[in-house]
This record gives sequence, C-alpha cells and structure tokens, in this order.
Amino acid sequence: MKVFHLIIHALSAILAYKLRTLFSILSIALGVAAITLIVGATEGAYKRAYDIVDRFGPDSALIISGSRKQRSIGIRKKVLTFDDMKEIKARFPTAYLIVPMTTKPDAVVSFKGRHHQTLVIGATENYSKTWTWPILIGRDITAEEVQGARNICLLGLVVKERLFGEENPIGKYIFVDHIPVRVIGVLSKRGMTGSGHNLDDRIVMPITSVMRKMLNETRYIAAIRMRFSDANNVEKHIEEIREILRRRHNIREAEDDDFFIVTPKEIVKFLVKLSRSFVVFLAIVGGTALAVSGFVIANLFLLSVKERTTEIGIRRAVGAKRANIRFQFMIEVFITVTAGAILGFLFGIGASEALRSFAQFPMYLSYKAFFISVGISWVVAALAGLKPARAASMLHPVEAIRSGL
Amino acid sequence: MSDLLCQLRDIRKTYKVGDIEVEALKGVSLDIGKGEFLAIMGASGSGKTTLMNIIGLLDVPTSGSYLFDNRDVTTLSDDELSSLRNMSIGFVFQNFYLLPYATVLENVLLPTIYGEGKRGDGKKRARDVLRMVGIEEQRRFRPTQLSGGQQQRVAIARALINDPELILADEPTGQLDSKTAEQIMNIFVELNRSGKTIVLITHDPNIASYANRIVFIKDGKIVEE
Repeated sequence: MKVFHLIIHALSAILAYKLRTLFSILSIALGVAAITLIVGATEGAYKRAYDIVDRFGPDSALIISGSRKQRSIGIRKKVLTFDDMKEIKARFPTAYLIVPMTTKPDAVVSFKGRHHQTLVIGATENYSKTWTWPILIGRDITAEEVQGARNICLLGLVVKERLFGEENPIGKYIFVDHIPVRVIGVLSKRGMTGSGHNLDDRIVMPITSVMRKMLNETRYIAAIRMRFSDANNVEKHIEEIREILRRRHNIREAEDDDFFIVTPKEIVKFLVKLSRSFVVFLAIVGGTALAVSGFVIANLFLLSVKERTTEIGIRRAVGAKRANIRFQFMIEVFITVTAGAILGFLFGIGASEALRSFAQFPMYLSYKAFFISVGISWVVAALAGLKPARAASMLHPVEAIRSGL
Repeated sequence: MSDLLCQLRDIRKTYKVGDIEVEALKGVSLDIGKGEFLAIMGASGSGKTTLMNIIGLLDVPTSGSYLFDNRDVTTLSDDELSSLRNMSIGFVFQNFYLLPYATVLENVLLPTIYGEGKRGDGKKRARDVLRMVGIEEQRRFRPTQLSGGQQQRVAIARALINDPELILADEPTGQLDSKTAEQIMNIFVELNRSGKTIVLITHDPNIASYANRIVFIKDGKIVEE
C-alpha cells in the first residue's frame, strides 16, 4: 500500500464531495471554536489571576476588618486596631513592611468648581512602597506628615484627570469633604480590578488626618497591609496572625472571624471561581457542539459510503484490502476534521478578540489552545470515522460492484 | 504443474435471498489454459456473472475446488484474495467504472497503490499501457471528458498496469456502438496475441466470436462448448 497516494486520493475525494466536506468542516469548526474559547478563557483567567497576585505581591497579605460575608471595603465594620498591628509587628520580624489603612468612601473632592466623588484611603508613608505603586509626579508622603496629621494627599490618576485635566496639580489645594488638602503627588496608573473596580479612582492621605479630621475615629482602622521577607512562609504566618487576632478580639470557638485576611492564594481562588461559571457554560456548549458535529460527520460519511459503493467495489476489485478502504475513509475524516479544526480555531481567535475588547473578559490564546482544539477534534474524528470506515471496508466487492449497474 | 491457469471443479454457489436459497451455480467444471481467449456466453440470470466473480476471485464458491495458477484459492483469506486480484487479474467492466474525481493517469495507476510496489516506475508503465490502448494524449483528462470508447480504453489500461496473467472482461462493449465495440475487441485480440489469457463474459454472439473458444452457461450449468 502506498500511503502517500492514498492520502492524495482522500484529498481528491474531499474536494470532489464538496457539500459533504463543507458541512463536516462547519460542524466541527463550531465545536472547536467553542473549545478554543474555553481554553482561552481558562488560560486568560489564570493569567489575570497571576497578574493580580503579582501586583498584590506574592509576599504580601492584607488583613481587612469585617467578616468575609461583608461585601465592599467601604461599608465593612472597622474592628482592627493599632494595638493589633503592634502585636503582629512584634511577633513577625520578617514582616518588613506593615502599613495600617483606613477608608472613607464617597468623599467629595473639588477643585475650582469641579467636583468628584471618590474613595479616601488613609495610610502611612509606606503606602506606595507596600503596594509597589510608584508615584508618577510629585513626591511620596513622609513619616513627619503622618505624625503631624498634615492635610496633604496623593491623587489617583482618575481623580487627577477629573479635577485637573492637563494641569499640574502639585502644590494645589483641593477640598476633601470641605477640608483643604494640598496635593503632593500623583500615583501611576493601576487599572481595573477583576470585578471591574477602577483602582485609580482614589486619593491617599495620612491615616492620622483621615481618622481625626474626617472619620472622628481614634481607635479602629480598616485594614493592615503587610509584606514578608520570607514569601514562602506567608500562608503559615497568616494562620498565626488569625490566631492572634481571634484571641485579641475575644472570638469564641464557634464564632466566625470578624476580619478577613487576603493572601495571594485567596485571590487566585476567588478569580478562578469567578471565571469557572463561564468556563462551565462554554464547556457544555463546546462539548455538545463537538458531540453533535461528531454525529453529523459520522452520518455524512456513512451516506458518502453508500453513495460511493461502486468506487469501493472498484478499489476492492483492483486489489484494495479491507484495511486499505478503512484507512482511506479514516484519512478523509481526519483531513476534513483537521481543516474544520483550523477554521474553528480561527473563529475562536475572532470570538476571543471580540470578548476581550467588548466584554473586557480576560482571554489568552496560545499554541496550547490550538493543540488542545486539534487534539479534541481528532478524538471526535476517530470516533466519528469508525463506523463509516468500517461500513465501507465490510462491503462485499461483488455487491459493491453490482450496485452501479 | 499444468499449463492451466484456472481449474474449476464442480463449483456451486448458493445465495440466500431472505429465507429462500438460490443456487446460482449448480456444479460448474471448467479449465482455462494459459494464453486462451475464452468467451462465456449466457442469458441474464444464467449464472455467468456469478461464475465471473468466482473466476475473478471477487467471490468464493459455496463448494467445489478452484485452482488458480496451480494454487488452491478456496481457502485464501480476504486479504490474500485481494493481493492475488491485484497482481494477477485485470478487470474490465461494462460501465467502465473509473473514479470520476481522478484523472485518466490516476485511474490507470489505481491498482499500483494497493500493490507491493516492486514493479518499477508506475508512471512510466502507465504511459506505456495508455499508449498501447491508444489514449496517452488524454492522460490528464477526467473520465467525464471522454467518450465511452475512450473510457473503456482507460479501463483496459488500468487492467493491464500490474501486468496480470488474466484479463476478465464483463460485457466490455455493452455500452458502446458497434464500430467502437469492434475497436475495443481488436485491443483484446491484440492482447491475447501478446500472450494474455482473456475471459470474456457476454450475451452477444458477435462479440463472443472474437474468442477462440466459447462456453455456454444456462441455469447455473455449462451446457455446451
């Protein structure tokens, strides 16, 4: 048997039976497009998750006031204290950065008649450093300014643009809930969170100023941000911190934590869960589409076997063995399906681009998506081709030839 | 060892049609010598096509013995029969049976795909046999672009490509006008002169007259030589 020639014959047949080929290719292409989207969405979600973890800092943790069940940071009950922070600081020498934070949501900021509602973050001089969030223009907050509860602030990029446009804000006074505050710097662009929240829509002030002058609060803070020099032990430290805080907050055995510790691991878990529903939906669609296309192809080729009975008879008469006939039909199925898979992958790329640009869904397509698509489609081809190829090879040469008369 | 190419002894073939058994061949014995030009004549339903299928190794008898080139072929597997057909038998059918989507040259090369590949350059040989049947010029055409006579020439070239011992022709002129039929029959006569064994199945006495020997089959039995 000459495999190369059989492949040429298979190609000729594929080109000759155009309608069969067209429907087969289209049906597999739809399934593969869905699979491509699934892989792209999964990879995209993981990539986004790891991007966010990277930004959050793999050596970092964030302790937030309020239980896991309370939603937005702004309305969480503040239960953490400076004393909590001091004990944690004393217990963990590897925590090289510890920054207390508080929040004042929906503050009105204004400059020369322009108003904007934004989130005020109260923090210390290490805010920018602990979040790896560089200052774009101007300078950072100093320790003296925190101690002295000075009325100074860093602007998020959104606030800067709303209030100042192209104008240089450094040294200008803005009103934050009617308090005049001097702008000393602008934070660089940070972008959107996974849940569509714009991180650049905020201003940062000394925590002392926010607590005393805006919240009238002396004891409780919203969150504690920490970075550890031993990144590998973060999860272990978190467990210990949890114990310390439960003890300090007098939480009994059966009660839930009144705080919530965000770690890189937690973020990954959350983001993966977020994209999972979409992936499950696509997996059902893709699986169904591929199963249907498998049936479509199997039946189209079965029909083709009937239509080509005489051809099979001729081939058998001139010496084709059963295996040769089987091989030819399998090759036809595989070539057709592969063409469909490639087309489907191109559809998938188009759909991914659309999802990325219109729905902001994180899509990431790599060669991996392509190989998974083609691989799955080959499984479909093997299953769908089995019955027609067998039917063709089992035709008795005499009956096959006589059918043409 | 004998000079006989085919030795059929008491060949019977029974088909099952539903619950009824139909005996198409009722004990046929026939010897075909090497280099012979034999015509098997009979009306439709006489069993001549069944006999041809058995001679051509497309089908196996229900009982009886068949030696092809001194080899018992009744016990061969499907694969072995396929190989033997490929190497030793060339078929020419009434309806030409060319692959519509392949060129003349590809059609002629078809048997070489399934062969053992020891027969040298297939393409050169294909052009030789196409020249022999007088249709080399049209080798890049598709069958639909050819007349019936030209298509049958292609089919004969295909039958010759593996240089078989036996050419089996089943009503080879059934679709052709008398002038073209004559040309085709002359090709068979030429082939026979060059040493090929030819078995012709026909119901047409004019066509059968080209053969050196004629046997008649009726109701599954050879009735006359």
